[in-house]
Amino acid sequence: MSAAALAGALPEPATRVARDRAVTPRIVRGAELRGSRTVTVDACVVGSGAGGGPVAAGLAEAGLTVAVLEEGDLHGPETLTARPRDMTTGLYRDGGQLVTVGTPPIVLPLGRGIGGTTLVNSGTCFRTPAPVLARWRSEHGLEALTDDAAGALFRRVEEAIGVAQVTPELAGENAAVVRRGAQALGVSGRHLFRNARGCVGSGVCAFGCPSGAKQHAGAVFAPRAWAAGATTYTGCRAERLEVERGAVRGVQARTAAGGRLTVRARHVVVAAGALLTPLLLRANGVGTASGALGRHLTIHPASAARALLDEPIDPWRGVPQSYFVDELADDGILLEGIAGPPDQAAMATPGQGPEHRDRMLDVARTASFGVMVADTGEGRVLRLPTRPARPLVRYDLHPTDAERFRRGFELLARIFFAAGAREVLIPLSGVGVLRDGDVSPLQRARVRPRDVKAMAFHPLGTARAGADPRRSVCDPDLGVHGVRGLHVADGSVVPSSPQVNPQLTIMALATRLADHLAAEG
Amino acid sequence: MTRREQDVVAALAQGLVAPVPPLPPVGATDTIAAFQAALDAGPALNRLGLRVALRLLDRRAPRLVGERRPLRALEAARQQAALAAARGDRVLGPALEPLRGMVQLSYYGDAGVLRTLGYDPGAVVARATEARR
Repeated sequence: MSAAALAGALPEPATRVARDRAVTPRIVRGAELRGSRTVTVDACVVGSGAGGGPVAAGLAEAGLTVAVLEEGDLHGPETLTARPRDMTTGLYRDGGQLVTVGTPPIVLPLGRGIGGTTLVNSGTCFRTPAPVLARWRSEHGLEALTDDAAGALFRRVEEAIGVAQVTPELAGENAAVVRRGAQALGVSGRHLFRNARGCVGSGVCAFGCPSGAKQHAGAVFAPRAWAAGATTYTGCRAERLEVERGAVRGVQARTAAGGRLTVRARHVVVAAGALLTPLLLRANGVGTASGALGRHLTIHPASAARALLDEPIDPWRGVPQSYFVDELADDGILLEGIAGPPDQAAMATPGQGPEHRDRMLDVARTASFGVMVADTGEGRVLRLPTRPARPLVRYDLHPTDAERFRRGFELLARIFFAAGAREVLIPLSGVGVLRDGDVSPLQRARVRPRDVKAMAFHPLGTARAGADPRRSVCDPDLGVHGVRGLHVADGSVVPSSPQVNPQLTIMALATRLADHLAAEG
Repeated sequence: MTRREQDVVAALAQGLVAPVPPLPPVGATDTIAAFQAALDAGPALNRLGLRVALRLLDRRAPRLVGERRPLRALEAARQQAALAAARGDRVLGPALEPLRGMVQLSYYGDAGVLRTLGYDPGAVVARATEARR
């Protein structure tokens, strides 16, 4: 890699390649829980994704009794159909229809089920870059996160979730096109690291891995927690934190059957994600003193260009996100693969009518690749006055980031043309289709935020950690300032944009929290 | 969805997808059922907004091209023209945008359409099942 901004970000491959033996799930279905029920445990974890998963497994394996509250269901690989349209309604929160309010509106898809968003992410693994860790130490007081300490946490997580670099054979033709173009231009890029064991390149990571190869939180940490005696309550939405005399006592949840589940616990770990965690804390009047709760939201806005080639590439074959280009990473711009079956492509293809149809008829020879930018601006999460509570996400793309998209797409278009693309479709208003290797329309373009068609996949920072309680919601050990026993372990605590896909960062922070709480007993 | 709303979704699909062979006609796919499933999966507020958008486009998009009949009553070419005009309209454009993605996803996710374009999810699942053994 050439980018200083990504120093230390590449993971180490896991040594163990075989999958774990199947464990019988210990699940109580909220869809069958009517009336009131109370359970008493040492620790209650709200959420089972990248944060909640490692905490629950770590605490259960340390001998604590653990209950996990999960709003979604278990989605085993045998239930997954490799059809994006149908999986979107089942695996994504709100059917994948969560959209930010601002300029431009940005679709923010989140997973819902055991495993959280790791169930539907692309599996890309980066460590938190060293310069980012340094900023967290110097600006936010996370002094314990030294490069060595973080490295040890990352190694444990990488081993647990089977991190390995994608091979060229599995990467698919979509990645091969960009690799070819990048190499022709001398642009820095390489295959990504992912959490998968036994991947066969099904091509639908974002819609649930039907081979069970993706080692998401629900496939790795939930079974470990169950094997150590933890119980997951699915279909249960945490609504109230019980706090008495400055200490947390438990959680009340509404079940899918309309019942009420009360979990009494001396440790409560909220890991509901950066959009829902601040709502839960605010609804209970905790974590609000600094004014930071719900603010400082970063999302890593992303968009994708499409390139028409002469030869078929069948973009649904192979790992959809398998290659990245870091040439512009020092400027906060990362190019990462994105591909998938035709129905996914239909949504990502601009236009309508005959123009859109003709592009879809060429879908088998259309490559696509994404541009992701590190946020310059910040958004915030508010509560919609609905029952149950829903997040309203306010986010305006910063003009600097709009310009970053222009620069990222310019490089990507050059790469596509160097790989032999006949035309490149840029999702920026006023730019449109580039032909004959001519990227001058992009060079001339003055791109405003409203011109960008974006999605985002990494909401972070809405209950950020820090040593100063006047500027942060959680302390450096992820305890909510001022409430004993209450912790947060999800993307909310990440103090600033890590500039890379954040699942390893969240898992490492959650692993550290589990160690910390296990030591307390 | 009401029967009328289903007809508007079918008209939107006709106008936004504009299928010609080898793509099957909208009526030969499960577009309407898939759109209903997507509507059901979203929050109530989205559902309400999308249903209002359906009715708005049905009544007002045709007027942009001089038609007095609702969108669902127009022939395919006029539906395409009306929706093309709606796309650039200050009010109807934002109403059309979220429906565009949902309708195109609903159509192109049909099993027959996927196969026509070269993607066979059954084969993917079969290979994945073999890999799990």
